[in-house]
Formats: sequence, C-alpha cells, structure tokens
Amino acid sequence: MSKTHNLKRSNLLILPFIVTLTILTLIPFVMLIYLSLTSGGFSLKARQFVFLSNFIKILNSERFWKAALTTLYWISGAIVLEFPLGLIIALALKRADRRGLKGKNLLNTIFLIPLAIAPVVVGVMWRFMFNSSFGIINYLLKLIGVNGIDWLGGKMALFSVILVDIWEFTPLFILILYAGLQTIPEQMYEAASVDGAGYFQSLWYLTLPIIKPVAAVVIVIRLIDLMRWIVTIFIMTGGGPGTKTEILNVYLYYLAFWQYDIDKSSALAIVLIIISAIYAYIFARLSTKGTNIISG
Amino acid sequence: MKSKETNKRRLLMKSKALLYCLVVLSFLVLLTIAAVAEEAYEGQTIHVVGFRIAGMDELMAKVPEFEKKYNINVEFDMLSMEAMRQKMRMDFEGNTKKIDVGLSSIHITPTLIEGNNILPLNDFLESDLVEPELLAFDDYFPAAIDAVTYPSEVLSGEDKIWGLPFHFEVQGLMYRKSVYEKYNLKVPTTWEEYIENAKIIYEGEAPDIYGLVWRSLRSPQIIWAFNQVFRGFGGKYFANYPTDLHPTLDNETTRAALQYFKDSFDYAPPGSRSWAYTEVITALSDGAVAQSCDDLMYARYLEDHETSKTVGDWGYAPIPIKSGLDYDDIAFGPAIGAAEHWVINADISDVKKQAAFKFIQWATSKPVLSELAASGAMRGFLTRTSMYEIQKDEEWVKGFLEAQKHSSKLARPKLPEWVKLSEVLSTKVSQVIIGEKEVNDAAKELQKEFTTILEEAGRI
Repeated sequence: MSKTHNLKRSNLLILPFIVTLTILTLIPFVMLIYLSLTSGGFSLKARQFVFLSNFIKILNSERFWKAALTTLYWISGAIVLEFPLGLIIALALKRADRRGLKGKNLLNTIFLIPLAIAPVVVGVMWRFMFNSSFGIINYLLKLIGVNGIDWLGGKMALFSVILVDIWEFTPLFILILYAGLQTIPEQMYEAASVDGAGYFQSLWYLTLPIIKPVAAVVIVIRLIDLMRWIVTIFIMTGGGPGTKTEILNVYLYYLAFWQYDIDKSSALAIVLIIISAIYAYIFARLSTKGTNIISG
Repeated sequence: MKSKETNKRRLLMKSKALLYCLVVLSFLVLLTIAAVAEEAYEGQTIHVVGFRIAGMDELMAKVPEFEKKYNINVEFDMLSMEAMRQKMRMDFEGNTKKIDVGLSSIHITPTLIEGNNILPLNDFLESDLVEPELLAFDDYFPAAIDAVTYPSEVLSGEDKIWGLPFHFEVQGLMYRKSVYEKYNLKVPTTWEEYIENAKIIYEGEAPDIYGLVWRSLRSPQIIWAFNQVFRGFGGKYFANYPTDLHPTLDNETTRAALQYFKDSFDYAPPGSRSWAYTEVITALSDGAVAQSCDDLMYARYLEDHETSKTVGDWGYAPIPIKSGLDYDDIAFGPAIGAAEHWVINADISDVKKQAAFKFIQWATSKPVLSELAASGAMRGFLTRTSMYEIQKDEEWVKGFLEAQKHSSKLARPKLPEWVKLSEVLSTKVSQVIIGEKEVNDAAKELQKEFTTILEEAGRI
C-alpha cells in the first residue's frame, strides 16, 4: 500500500475527531465573539451590534488595569517561587535515586498529595487555616512568639493566595522536572566527573541545559493556568479585600455572574483568550526548540 | 281532520318530551364529566430548583406527599445558591423553559420582573386553585408579603406579588447577655452606644472576647452588613426612590457611615475584614465575640446545642440607628426584611403554571411551614404568624418581632440594576475598611459609578 494512500486513510480515520473538536471549540468561541460585539443581556434574539464598544469600556476601566497588574504580580510571584522550589526538590529526589536511598517512593507520594486535592477543598482548607483568630497557622506562630498575622484581611492577602498556589502546584514542577531529569543518562555525569566537574558544574553545564525544554514547557503550562485561575482565590478572598486579589479572571467572574453584564464580560473573555493565545504560541515555539545533547 | 290534529298534538308532545329528556340527560352527563374529570394540572411534571437553606431538606423530603396528593410530578434540583441564581436567570431570560419554579430573591427578581420572565401571582391568589386552609393568606407576616411585592415605579406593571415567601428574615442586634451584665451595659438603640459597648467589651475582654463582628467578605455579604449602618445614619442611595433615582452618595452621611464602619473594625477580631458568614457564626457561637448586627436567623446556630457554646446567652433587639434620628426618619427603615420566595416561569404552558402554583402554595402553606417550624428546621425565620405561635417561647422570636417593625421591603433597593450597583458598593466598602481607599474618594467614586450605571440603564 502506498504511503499516500496510508496517509489519506489515516486522515480519514481522525476526521470525525477533528470535526467534533472543531465544532465543540469553534461554536462557543464564535458565540463569545458575537456576544462581545453586541449588547442585549442573556437574550440571543434582541441583540444590537455595538462593535468594539464593549472592548473600549473594558480597556478604559481603571479596574481592568488594576486587575491586570494584580494578575502580573500573581503570575510572577507564583512562577518565581514554584520553579526553583520544584527544581530543588526534583534534584534532591534524583540524588536520592542515584544513592539508592529508601523511602524515595513515599516521598514522591507525599509531594504529590497537594496536586491531588480538589482546588475547592484547598481553598476552604487554607481559608480556615489562615483565619487570624482561630486558624492553626497563627496558633502555631503564637507558640513561637509571633503575633497574629492578618493573612487574608489586609496587605498580606495576595501573598497568602500565592503561598497556597505554591503549596498546591510546586508538585507539578517536581513531577515534570523529575521526569526530565530521569532522561539524562548516568554515563554523562560519570564522564563529567572523570573530567573533574563538581556537582554544581555538572548542574550548570549539563543538567540545566538538557532539561531546559522540559522546564520551558512546564513554566508555560503554569503561566496559562495562572492566567485562568479562580477557584482558590475566589474561595479564600473573593478577590478582596478591596481589590487586593482581584486578578482578571476574578474580575471576569464578577462581571458575568454578579453584575450579569454578559456584553462586557464576553469582551473581557476575548481579551483573556488573546493573552492566553500569546502564551500558547510561546509554548509551541519553546517546545519545538531546544538542544538535544543526548543524540548529539 | 280530527285525527290529523290529534296526531300533530301527539307529535308535539313527544317532541317536547324528547327535548326535556335530552336536556336532563345532557345535564347529567355534564355533571358526571365534571365530577370525574381530572384537574387540568394533574399528570403534569414540573421542574423546581432550590438551594440548601434552612428547611429545604425537610421540604424536599415531603415532596412525595405533594406528588401523591395532587398527581403532579416534581423534579427537584438542589444547587448552590449562586449556581441556582445563574441557572434561573439563564433559563428564564434565555426562554429555554427548563425550569418551571425557582427560589428567587431580591437579587434577581427585579430583573426577572423587568424581562417579563416570571408570573405575577395576584390572579392566581384569587382563583379556584387557592385552597384557603393551605394558603391562609392572612397568616403570612405582612412584612413577608411586602418583601415579595415590587414597586411599579421602577419595574414593569403594577405593584404585584411576584412570589410566595418561603423564608422571611430580618436584621437585628444580637448580644451576649452575660457580657452585658458583667459590664452593666444597656441594649444599644444608637450606633454610638453600639460602638461604645464594643469598645468597653474589647478593652475588658480581648483577646478572649471581641466587641463586635461584621460580615465583610467582598460579596453581597458586606452589603448586608454595611447597609444597616448606611441606612441607620439616614443614608439614601437615591434622591427619591423609587421615582427619582439620581444617586445621593457623595455627601457627609455616606462619609460618616463609611468612616463608622471602618473604625468599628478596631473592636473586631483581627483579620475579620474578610470574614464571611461562616467565620462570623463560628466566632459568635464560640463566644469569641459579644455582639453583632446581622440576620437574626443566626439564632438557628447560636441556640443550637450541637453548634454553639453560648446557647441561651443571647439577647435579640432591633438594629440601632444614629443618635438624633428616629426610626420614622430613616427612609425605608434601617433593617432589611428579605424573603426567599418561590416564583413561576412566565413562559411555560398554562397547565404547568397551574401545577407550579399548586406546588408553591403547598411549599409555603400554613401546615407545611408550621410542621417545619415545629421540627426546628425554620428557627430564625418567621414567615407566618402560625410559626410564631409554635416558637414564641424562644428568645429570638421576641427580638424578631421587635426588629421586623423597623425593617422594610425597600431597605435594599428593588431595582434590576441593583446587582451591578451592589457589586460596585461591595468593592468600594471593602477597599475603605482595609485602607485601600479613603472615605472621601470612595464616596465620590460611588456617586460617579452609580450615576454611570443608572444612565446606561436609562433610569436617569
């Protein structure tokens, strides 16, 4: 059977999947664009074209830019802390692996538990743990002489939600980076050692360049995830106090489901999709780039 | 000739006799049909959505009784409050006709009225569908009926009843009697006295017991709290609601109310500037706070031996107001009287509307609500006088009756735009209490944003 024939048959076989996926993705997206360019509440019948008016209202609002800045702090804070922490733990697990230390599987499991817990549960749990009056964190801090910190009711609120995100999603970095580290053959470290390279030299010149594509992938996945995150923030602070933890997605929720402003919230959703699409493009570029030291 | 006439007469008599028989037979047939004919709504299936509030689980458990009695099937969906409201709005406004009956509130009823999405009930309340011993209309608290009546000046149609109240709740003051006795405090009738009490308690008891607590999570919860202070200071959101909706927020009254609300947190538990309902009730039940002004339905937790360490130590009274003012001076009253009420989709078929009315009449009926009250499921709510009779020995009931005199159906504006306005209000108030925004700036911005929203809606 010719190659062309096989290709045509393969394409035919995956066609139903592509068509279904296109319909399921395209129709809601087209509807969203329609809603963002029109005005008329929940009704689909009596809508009027207002073209870019909804977008202009959103981009002209101080609250949008404030939420955009908070989103930037949120993403930066989470990534800057999650990646190094995840890398350190992955390297430690790798080292334990090489030394044949016992209990490594147990450690792996413990590290993954936060990732396995539903975000709603995480939000509720940490909301009560952070409670300034009867939360366990302040209780333990009090035992060591540190007075009650207002974790969720003041300036600390954004830091607190970032802390929870770090607790919840550093395991994702551990999982993926550790898998990346497993692909590095031992012989390379042996060869480096023979050449006189120490641990940190091996890390800098060998390990990090090899896992760079993997790291790029996981960072961009987290970036996209952080852009669309809402659950734990909403449960812990509701985007407050004030607007301290109101990221763009939380602002979108309030527009859509408290103010029931379908027109402006659709426009904001499109803006968020564009930003996420830019990240997705970066992801696609980075995932195809990178060194392949192993195959030379 | 004679025989012809005789024959004619006989024929006439026979015809008359036949006619009489036909008439009588028809009458009998119709009578029979009427006697055995099913009511039009029987055999219908109605889709009802509700959320888990006090008494709802118990009501759901009784639904098979309703189904058996009326031969109406009920598909009951229990959702979260937010999910239910969103689903109702989407279904009713989007005309998808999946929901026949929903549990509505002031949050969404004005919008549904404006969009002609729900049915006014006045005609049903005078129809043959009414079962007087069930409906017992005079048994409802007048304030509960007020709460489900919406003003025609801002909404389509006349003043009508748009739902039947399942819950009626009222805001009031709750205070620890033992703490008041210890410091010889009197029950405050002014906001100044309230905060003075809070200060005394704080200075004497903190960190074991704090002076006061508010619901302050940025959400409708903070509005529930702040509105009491705002109204109690004589504040008005609009120039002359419901006829003149020009906002009146950039003034000294608003600033004073915001400042008071912000300063009051000095006597509240640390970190309580983002507390929701759950944390507030926990703090009160645990005895960590000595007073609060909020929904008197808290009594169901404060007086429950399973959840509270302070059972029997609570006193209940009306909301305070600013000194120098009288309750009659307060436009629409300082306290919100609100009712979760069952509403009927206006776009469903006539027979379904009948079935739906039968359901809501039953669900809010005197026998059903009395049974729920007797079981303790409705502690904190007095929708009907008969419920009062059952619970009248409970401490909170006396407070409720006093408090509801100063509550008002209009203490929280019944406007479709209130959802947007309240979201803006919630954000600004939250910003003030954490110091993110100055009181002056907040008042100015509230005035500006309220004006923009109402202008866009064509209200001013």
